[in-house]
Amino acid sequence: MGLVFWLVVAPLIAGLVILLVPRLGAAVHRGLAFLGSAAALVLTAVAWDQFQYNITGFQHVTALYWFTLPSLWHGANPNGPGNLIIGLSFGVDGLSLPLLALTSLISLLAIVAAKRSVERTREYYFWISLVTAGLLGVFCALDLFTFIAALEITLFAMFFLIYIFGEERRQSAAFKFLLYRGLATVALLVALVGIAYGAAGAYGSQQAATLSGTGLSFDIPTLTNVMHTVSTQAFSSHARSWLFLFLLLAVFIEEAFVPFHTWLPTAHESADTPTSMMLGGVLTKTGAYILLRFGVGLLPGEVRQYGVLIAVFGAINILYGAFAAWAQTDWRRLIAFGSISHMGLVLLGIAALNAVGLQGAMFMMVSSGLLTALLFFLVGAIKDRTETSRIPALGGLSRSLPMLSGFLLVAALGSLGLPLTSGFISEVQAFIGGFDTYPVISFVGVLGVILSAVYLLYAMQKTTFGPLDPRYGELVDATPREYVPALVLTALVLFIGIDPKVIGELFGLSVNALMRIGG
Amino acid sequence: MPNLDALHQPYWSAMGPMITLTVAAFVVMILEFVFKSEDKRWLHGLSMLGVVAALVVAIWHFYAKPQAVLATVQNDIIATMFTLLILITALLVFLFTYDYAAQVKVASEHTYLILFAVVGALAMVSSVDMVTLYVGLELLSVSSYILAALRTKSTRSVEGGIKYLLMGSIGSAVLLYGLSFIYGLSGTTNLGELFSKQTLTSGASLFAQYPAVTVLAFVLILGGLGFKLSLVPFHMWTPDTYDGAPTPISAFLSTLSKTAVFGMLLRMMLYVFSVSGSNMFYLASLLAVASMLVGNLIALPQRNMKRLLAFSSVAQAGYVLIPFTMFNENNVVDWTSLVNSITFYLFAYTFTTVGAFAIVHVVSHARNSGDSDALLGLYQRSPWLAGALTIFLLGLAGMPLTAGFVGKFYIFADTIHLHQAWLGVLLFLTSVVSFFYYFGWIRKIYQKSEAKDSVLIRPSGIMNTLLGLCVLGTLILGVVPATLLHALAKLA
Repeated sequence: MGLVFWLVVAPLIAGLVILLVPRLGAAVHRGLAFLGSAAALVLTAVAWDQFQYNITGFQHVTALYWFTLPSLWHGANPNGPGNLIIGLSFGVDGLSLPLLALTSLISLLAIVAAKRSVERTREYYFWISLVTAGLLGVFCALDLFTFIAALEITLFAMFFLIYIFGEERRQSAAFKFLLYRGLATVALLVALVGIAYGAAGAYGSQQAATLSGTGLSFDIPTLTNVMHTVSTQAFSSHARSWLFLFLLLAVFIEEAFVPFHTWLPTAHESADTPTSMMLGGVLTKTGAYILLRFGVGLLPGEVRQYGVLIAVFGAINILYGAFAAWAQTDWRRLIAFGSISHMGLVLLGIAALNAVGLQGAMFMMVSSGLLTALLFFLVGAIKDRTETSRIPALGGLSRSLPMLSGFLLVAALGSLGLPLTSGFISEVQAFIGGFDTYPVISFVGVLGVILSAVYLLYAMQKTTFGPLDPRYGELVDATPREYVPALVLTALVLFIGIDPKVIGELFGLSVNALMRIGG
Repeated sequence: MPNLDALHQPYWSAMGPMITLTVAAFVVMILEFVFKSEDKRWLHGLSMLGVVAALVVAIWHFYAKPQAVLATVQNDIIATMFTLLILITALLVFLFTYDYAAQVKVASEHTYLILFAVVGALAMVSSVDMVTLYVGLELLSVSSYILAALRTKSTRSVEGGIKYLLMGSIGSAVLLYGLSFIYGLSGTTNLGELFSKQTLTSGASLFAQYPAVTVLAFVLILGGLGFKLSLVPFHMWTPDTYDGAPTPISAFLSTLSKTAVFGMLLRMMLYVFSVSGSNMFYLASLLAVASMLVGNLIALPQRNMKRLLAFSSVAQAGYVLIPFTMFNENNVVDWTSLVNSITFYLFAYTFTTVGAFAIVHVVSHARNSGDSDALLGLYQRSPWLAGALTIFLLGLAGMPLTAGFVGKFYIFADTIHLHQAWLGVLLFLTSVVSFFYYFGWIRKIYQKSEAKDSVLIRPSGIMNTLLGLCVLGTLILGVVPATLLHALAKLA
């Protein structure tokens, strides 16, 4: 069918056209990038529509042959060297489909939100399209090599976006980003390639005729099958533990968890609004995806074994993120720490390793993605008018900017988990799951929710209420173009909060698949 | 009546490129003597023609049955692939010198000197006899010494050339000393014979009989070739020589000459040491580790573009050395994957490095400065050069969609497969260090230049051809690596 393949390739084609066709105007560049992301969104919708809920495993699979690395394996085939086949394969399941929708939607809205005044539109929209294609590739790649390549593409494409189009202190922010995420990739490479070789070795020694995989395979579905059939004797728990710890290290850096968090606030502070929306809304969800797909998916025993560690780190991040957010005087840093706090909850939900917790973690990824993108968009819109995002410098904006302030309030309430918003449904599920397995740690984590109410409402009060600064008396409220991202994101936040069943069904499917192998 | 075709066929398929190039070299040399005209750039054209003819011969016999001629020259996978790479590199270098000679006055003798050096390089990758290997190495080295000091009016060029001469001669002497031990122990200079002698019975390997002397010979050979490969701690000459030499010659030294030496090292490892059953290979991994660490760390503060590329080439040589550290007896069954990963990485490295040197030349010539600040605002002066250099730097840093990523991944997979994961991890960790200087250049390229002299840079058509080829090579091997990998698999 090739549906999912074209979904990834569409923004890539748009990006190449933008880059290579000379003498296109700024509006055409923007239009092409928009078209690329819109095509991805439409294809995601089609895939969602055709999704069959009675099938576990991947659907819409496109398995293209890419290339072969010869003689990298001979364990399973004693007669001669075995080759490592790299496939350009993509597919979706219940976990990746909502994330694909999130990615294509937020990239679309980021392009809408991009300022008309941006210079060097050719490069700008090329890198935005490339980041989008890379992220889409990350969420639906079915081959380890393709997955890592897609992740690396987002690394350097995002570097260019932060570096070329960022604001003050963009240099150090861009290089910090590069360093941290580069190190994460190293850890990820070790973990994933190690798991593939370990599984192949175990398979070879076990000689089980019932296994579907043969020899060394980078194919994720095959690998998942093999990993759940090989015994712990064949693939020692010692080796598995090490690989899992490498994976966890990669996840911690990708997600900007304490103590590897310093790159995220600086990156957000320097990046412009669309880049921040992509970064906070989608890119920081890759780590959680890795933990779910490869941690829970391939090494569930180790997730259980190190559950306490993960849960403790989850609680630490919930609290640290909240306290740090409280201390911030800049909205963008505040949102960044707030999202770290949210992602801590994802860790807690995953560590619980029960159906509710996992589902809560997945909900949190989408909810935090929508809310973070919305918050960055609104703060960016306010900053365009007031020329600052420093909280003490703002005040009384509800009078001069009633619509933007209203949206900001909704986003803040969603972020602190008010019922009927997506934040609520996510937090409740993650905590219920957490309490089931780690009651004490979860109790400590709940305090973070209270703190989030404190820092968000405090910042809201400073920004929108209080005396109106005369400088901000004559500001123009949201323009029609700005209503689009604000309304779409707000509507989705409320929609998921009111009717979580739509994506809950999808997530439930993945949770069941994960629980069957994990439990 | 004997069939003469059958007699000549093996000679031609194994030595065709070498013979063609030797003829070309002599023709160019004689014509250079004979014609006294001022502008001798047509000699480049003629040399290029010779290289292209050799390429045609090499491709014609690409899938010819591997065989040894006179027990000395062989056309197996190593010879075929390395010959192809060396000839492609030579073509790129000649395009480069053609453009260079139009702008900078250089002695036109360098045309046939490069051709002779390439003949030497071909001998190094295709012969299986220590004498021929050494003759090839010296032919390459002696030509290179002259080439490095070609800008006779520049003290830096002469200084770099003399440093290269001194260090290179020491390297050759050390290597020869090592080879002499191998000859003394085995009584033969022929690698094929050496290999079959060693594998005759279980205890017949040189190491099993004379462990101490074999390890000594291993160290001497590795050290001697290490000088030529500018591996740490034998790298001291590299920045000065690369900086002083004409830029095309720097590109030549860091790609073609290293490819040939790697080819020779591959022969020695495979035929002499792989069957030794000893763990002396960890000595090679020490060199690899030192090169990756020192090369990348010293490159960080460099401001001169050519010196930075010199240190980057030290680090890159360290990456390529990783597969060489795994040629022990247990792994030698996997030698095809090791050879493949080495070859693939060398291809990736060649395209990116020649391209980077070419742009460094264009930029530093246009702005009259070799400092990396000359790159400031390059995207305003020439979007094409900025884009091409970005691709080369992303390739050198090992980013996906370029050949560098696949190459590094292949080496990494090798290390995991053969239980040397720590080397693979170090490869990627030091690559993260290298991000700082490669992306540091990218930072300068896309920085807005406030300078008033933001004139456009227009490279010549020849230069654009060269850059286009390098960009194509980097991207094709990154997006469809199967083009090269399938040829490798077919030959193995």
